[in-house]
Amino acid sequence: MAAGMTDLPPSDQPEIPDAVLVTPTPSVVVAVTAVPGVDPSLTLAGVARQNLAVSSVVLVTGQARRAPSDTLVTAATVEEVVASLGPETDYIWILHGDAEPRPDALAALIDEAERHEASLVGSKLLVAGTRDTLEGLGSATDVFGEPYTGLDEGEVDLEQYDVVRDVAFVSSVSMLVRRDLMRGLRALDRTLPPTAAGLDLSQRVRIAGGRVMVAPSSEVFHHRRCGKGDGGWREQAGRMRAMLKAYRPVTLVWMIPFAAIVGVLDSVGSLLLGRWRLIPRYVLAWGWNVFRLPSTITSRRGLARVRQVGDEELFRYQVRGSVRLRTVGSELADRLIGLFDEDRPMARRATEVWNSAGTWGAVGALVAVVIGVRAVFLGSLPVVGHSLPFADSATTTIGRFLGGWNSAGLGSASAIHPSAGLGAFVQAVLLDNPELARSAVTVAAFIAGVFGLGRLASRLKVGGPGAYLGGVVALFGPAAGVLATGGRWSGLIAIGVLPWALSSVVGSRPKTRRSRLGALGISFFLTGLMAALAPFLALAPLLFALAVRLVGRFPASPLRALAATGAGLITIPYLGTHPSLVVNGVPLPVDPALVALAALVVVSLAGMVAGTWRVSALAGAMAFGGLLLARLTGPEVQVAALAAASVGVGLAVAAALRRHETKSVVSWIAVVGGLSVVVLSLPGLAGGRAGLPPDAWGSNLAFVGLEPDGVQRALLVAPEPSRLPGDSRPGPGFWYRLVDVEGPTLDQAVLPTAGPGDLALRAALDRVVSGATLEPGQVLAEFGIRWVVAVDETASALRPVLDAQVDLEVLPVGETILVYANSSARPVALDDLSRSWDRHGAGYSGPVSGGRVRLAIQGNERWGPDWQSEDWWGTVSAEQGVARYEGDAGGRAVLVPVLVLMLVGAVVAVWGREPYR
Amino acid sequence: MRKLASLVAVAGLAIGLMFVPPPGRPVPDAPPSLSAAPYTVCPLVEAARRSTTLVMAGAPGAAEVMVFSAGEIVVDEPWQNPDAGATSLTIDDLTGLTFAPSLIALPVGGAEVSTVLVGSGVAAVPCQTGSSDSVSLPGGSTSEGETFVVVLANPFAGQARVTVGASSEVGIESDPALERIVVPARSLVRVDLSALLPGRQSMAATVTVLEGRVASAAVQEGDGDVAVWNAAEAAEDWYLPLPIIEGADRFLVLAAPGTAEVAFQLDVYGSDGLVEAWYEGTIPARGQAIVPVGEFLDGAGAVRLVSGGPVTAAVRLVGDGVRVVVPATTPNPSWVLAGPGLVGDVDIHILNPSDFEVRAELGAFGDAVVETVMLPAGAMTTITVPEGDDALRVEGDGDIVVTWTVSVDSGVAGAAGVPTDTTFSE
Repeated sequence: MAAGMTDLPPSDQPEIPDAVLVTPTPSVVVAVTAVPGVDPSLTLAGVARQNLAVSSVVLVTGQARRAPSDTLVTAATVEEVVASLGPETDYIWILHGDAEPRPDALAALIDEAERHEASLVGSKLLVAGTRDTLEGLGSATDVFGEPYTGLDEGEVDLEQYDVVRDVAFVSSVSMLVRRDLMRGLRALDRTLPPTAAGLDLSQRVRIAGGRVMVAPSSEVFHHRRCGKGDGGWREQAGRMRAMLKAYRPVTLVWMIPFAAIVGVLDSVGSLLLGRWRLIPRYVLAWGWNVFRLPSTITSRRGLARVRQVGDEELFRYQVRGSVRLRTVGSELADRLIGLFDEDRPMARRATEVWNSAGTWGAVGALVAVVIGVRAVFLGSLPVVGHSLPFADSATTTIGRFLGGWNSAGLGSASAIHPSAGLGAFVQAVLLDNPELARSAVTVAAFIAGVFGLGRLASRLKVGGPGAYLGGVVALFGPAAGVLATGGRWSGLIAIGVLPWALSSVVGSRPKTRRSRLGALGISFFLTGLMAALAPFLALAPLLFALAVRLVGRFPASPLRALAATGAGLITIPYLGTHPSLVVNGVPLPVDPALVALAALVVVSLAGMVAGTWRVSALAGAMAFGGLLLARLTGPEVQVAALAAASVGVGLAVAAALRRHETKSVVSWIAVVGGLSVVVLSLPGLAGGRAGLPPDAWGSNLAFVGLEPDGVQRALLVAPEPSRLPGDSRPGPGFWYRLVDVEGPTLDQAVLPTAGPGDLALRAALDRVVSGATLEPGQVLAEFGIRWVVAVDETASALRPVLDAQVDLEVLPVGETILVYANSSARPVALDDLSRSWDRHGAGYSGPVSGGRVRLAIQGNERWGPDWQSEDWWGTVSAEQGVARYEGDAGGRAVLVPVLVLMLVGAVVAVWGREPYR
Repeated sequence: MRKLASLVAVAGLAIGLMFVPPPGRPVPDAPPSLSAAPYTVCPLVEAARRSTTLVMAGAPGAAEVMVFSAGEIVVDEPWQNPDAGATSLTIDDLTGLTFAPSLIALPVGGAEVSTVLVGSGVAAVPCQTGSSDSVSLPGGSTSEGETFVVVLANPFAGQARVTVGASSEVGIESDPALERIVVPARSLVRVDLSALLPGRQSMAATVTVLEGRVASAAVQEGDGDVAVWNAAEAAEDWYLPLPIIEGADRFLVLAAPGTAEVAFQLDVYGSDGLVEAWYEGTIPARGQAIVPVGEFLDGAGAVRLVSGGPVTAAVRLVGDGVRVVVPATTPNPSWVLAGPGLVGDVDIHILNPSDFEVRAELGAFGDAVVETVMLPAGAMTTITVPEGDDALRVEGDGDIVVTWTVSVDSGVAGAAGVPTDTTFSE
């Protein structure tokens, strides 16, 4: 024994069977590494019970610690133990002080080491306190040294991994290593924590030409007091040091930059998961290694002297890619899925995921959605009704949304529909690509709608595969069909958001103040989002929460919903300037198929009788109440009511298709009814246009942008309002509206209340249609109209009148569309030298002069410079070369705070999420 | 209890949905009634071979003359109708085009415009608004020495397409050149049927408008005279005064443009008063029927044509140096006769087709009544007015039918008056 070591008194020595002591070959010294705060007596007892004799047992206490007992042989470090051993010792068994080896653990290690001529053999580690829960069985690593066990948390040992094999490294909890090799490699690196030390030793053993193996027959129970999980920044730094020591320079050249990239990605990914600590850990780990670089270099030199194999031998036992990135990616996906489905069917292991009916329901619903919106992928969404492209410039639209000039029709100071503003924000994020933004919003909303209904149904205890099918029904079913047929794109998008907003106000009360704030934040954000799409849906969460309280059983938070209703202020500028759309306006034809209604009645009533009366009652009230309300009100209330009815229909189907605890005739009726509604909803997928009618104006108006000469308008004429893009006005025998040469865009969808210019235009149309003028183009030129476009029957009706005139040239465009080009047209903005001015943001710009510019808009004094009203139009000074509109500060004063609060709500929602487990 | 209440509530909403009707289908406002056309088209204007005078009669005010040719407006001149209510304009002063079809933007209040052609015969014809439907031109001939041309004028901004049909004593005629003829915007197309289908004693042309709007008229030239007349849409009740022109034979030409044969009867207003159903016959589908007036009437008189389907009709007067075709017309109290006074002494033929006596007044625009006549029931009279006035007016206290003829050395002109809503005494 070396100096510093002490002998245990005979009375305190563990009992070692005499028979074992008689045959001490091969000679093994046990080094029990003490774990701070852990009594090593259990470990020592375990060593004593080994059915193979050991030469001696040394307790490695660490430099700063004293021996727990004066009678035990102790050493400061394993290195010290190794240095003290003579050639009579064959092996050193390093054992953590919180481990309990089975009696045959050492024998098994020696047996496998001898049989396979291995230099380093590790044990199978089982979690102490359990009988058969696996902790580790040797590990692979990735190229960055990150361990990969391949085991699931809590995986039971069924001897499924009991194969003696070479591994990348074995844990230092229980490892048997040849003394001579240990001596040559200078034992364990004292600067490294346990796992990293095991990895480091394993790699050095392998580089020195030794085999590193695991012996599953050697079982050790581990109390995991020495550390569990990933071991903190020290382990991370240690693993990095181990790799820095082991790899050749050529490997380090690419490994180090990749490690840095992986660190950044891992940090960002973890940040999304709410784990901010990873960033300082990486910083500390890198910093520690920089600090230890001299000793690392020294170690590399020492290892170079014994190196027998190249890095390829290390790569053989490594997994491809980055374990960290794989893990964080998997967790992110899991979290994402968990957002949609609180059951987290996909968060389970793959085998369980694909055996889950919920998974198949979700996949089926996703496939249905992809089929239902395939036009987005194959081309673009149709331009029909209120399903219109976003304007080219997001900033201009945002300006219009925040109190700027509304260019719809002949222009107005009234607010544009908030959905256009919402779309513009998305467009701004997507690099100002209007078509991409429109497609992205549509696809995202439809996918969100399916999973949102799944989430809402789960909160109401009717989740499962039927809930996802209910999501499809909500988006493509009879109520949504009314919205789709009417071309109400924003209403369809609102269906995607509504279930999320509703589920944000039901469910159990968050446990912490932070999570309560988070819940309020998400409710506020979602309510604002939804109100932007369909203003009257701002009331939906509050009404839903009250209704849930009324039916009982499910927790709901009306107060949170009431607070979230404040986000509905986002609609105030719009509703304040379009009061007629509440009860007047052109209504949607709310006439769903009778068979669908009948099936819905069966689903709702049978669902109530079959045992889920609360959910079915809520769903039925939403569905029938929404449809009923939609038959009594104006278009804006209709859109909200139909969106609510859509979600109600989906929820009714979810309740009907849930797993019924008791099978009865009524429950079967509910199931059949639910499936019927699903089947009746499938035609909505047929066109692949999200249920919208075929494109009417996307290609038909391509010509209006031709021959641009300043800003001009097109007069669109149709026999029915639904045939025109956006809103329209009743005309003499037809419906009509104006669009500018950009074509119909979402911000122009809603026409403002008719002003003096609209009345003048109507009088002009009467004159044209009566045939009282030979030059209708001259009459229409006053309004900046360059094109007259009539479709179908209107074309037939107008043709006789417009055949007898001299300044509207017929263009051969299509069979069902009649297009006249006005040869007398004048641009909307024209100076007194007949020079046209172009669009400049929401205003106009042109040549500077001392004269004035005529603007064919229903302007007001906010236009400048020097606005002067002339009849319904007006003029501005051309001295600055620009005509601008000073926006409505009142509208901005309302919208900006609400938008900021919505943003804050979203951030708080992320910050305040319940911890992910 | 809550479950039951919920059940009832949901059922109630469902039932309510069944009983509340869906929102009504929105309907646009009613279209305004069509105004009188603010224009008239004069397709037969010539400025080289003949001298053309346009005569306007009606409300005073600013008008505009637009001569169009080959897709362009080549002349655009203002034309003021004086307070007197009638004026004339010689097109030769504006353009030298051989064919100078004109579009006249009328003064507010409306007016009638006629074309008076002098040179190689004389002729006069009211200008017209054109048609988008099928119209007929009975009364032509492509026999040797005769030229029969259908004139298609499109002064408007859009292209027009027409198909010209023809029927003669041979039967229904066909020629690919007559199918789907394009009449470009602001252009004139002349279809010379005498070149395409020569040798027909009697021919009726039909113009079917497939697209756009076209003013259709016919020009018949032969033996030194020219006749011009407008196309008319078919109807079932027509009146045709039958004046006597010295040296000319009179023929009734009836045409059925439809695809079914049409039965008709002729009621004759002769010296013995009205003889109903004097003649009954049938017009073959898309064919014509020729009835020599001499077979039932020696002197002046008139005929009422009543048919079982839509037909058009005209009186064709043919003789040495005489070519006149006067389309049938319908009774009306007020009539305008623009232009005949510029040609020569005018014979105005007034028929009272009613069963009671009618008082008719005749005068020039801007002047007092020059003559008043009392017309017994079923009687026709002819009043001669000396040359000089741009336009004449006839107004009865009941429905009358008015046509006119002018005989001068260079030929004979004749046409129906233009019925008008304007009451001249106002």
